[in-house]
Amino acid sequence: MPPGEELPATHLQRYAGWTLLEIGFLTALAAAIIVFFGPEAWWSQDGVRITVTLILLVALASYLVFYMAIRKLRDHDDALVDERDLVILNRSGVGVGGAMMVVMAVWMIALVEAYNDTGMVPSYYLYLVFWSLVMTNVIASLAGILMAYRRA
Amino acid sequence: MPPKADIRNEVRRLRFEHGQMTQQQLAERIGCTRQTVIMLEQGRYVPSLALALRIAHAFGTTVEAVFTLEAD
Repeated sequence: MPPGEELPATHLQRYAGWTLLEIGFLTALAAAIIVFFGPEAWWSQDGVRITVTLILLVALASYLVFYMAIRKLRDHDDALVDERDLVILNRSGVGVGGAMMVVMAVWMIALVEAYNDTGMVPSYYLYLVFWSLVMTNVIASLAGILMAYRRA
Repeated sequence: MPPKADIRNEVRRLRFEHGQMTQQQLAERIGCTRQTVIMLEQGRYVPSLALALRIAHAFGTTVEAVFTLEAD
């Protein structure tokens, strides 16, 4: 590689980067809507619940498209995704468990602090915890791919 | 358990000895990405046996002529 030239990004790296940006934006948008209307709007306003759910489903669909695209590239004759990419893809899940534990801990501390007096946590938080864990899983695995390239 | 071995390779030298083959040309010939060739040349990636055999085949030589243990 000539001096000064940057390491060329692989297809997997580029796709993971763009998908992470897209899913990160959609997740931030969903979070902003929930913060703006308040978490109780999840139950009380159908429009909020449906909008947020649709945004998150689009994000999950993007993740699915990413994996299908990588699968297709892997089977491509021109080796657009090679054995090193697959090693990196396999390593990318290493941090997912840790990220989910952190998110769970944040939820636990926040909910205990907020509802310690009554001892009753509103049930809509179960949905929010679920979705936040799903999105953490997706974002952490995509970020893991990009981090694995930096370390490899 | 044997000690962890560093593997040295002659990919860069062989590439230049074979008509100044570019990294991209080698990548296309052995079925990998250019980034993998760069990482191989920098000693930051140890290929699978299949890829090592394809590299040796691309240069018309043996795996031992391309890859050697650092201790050897």
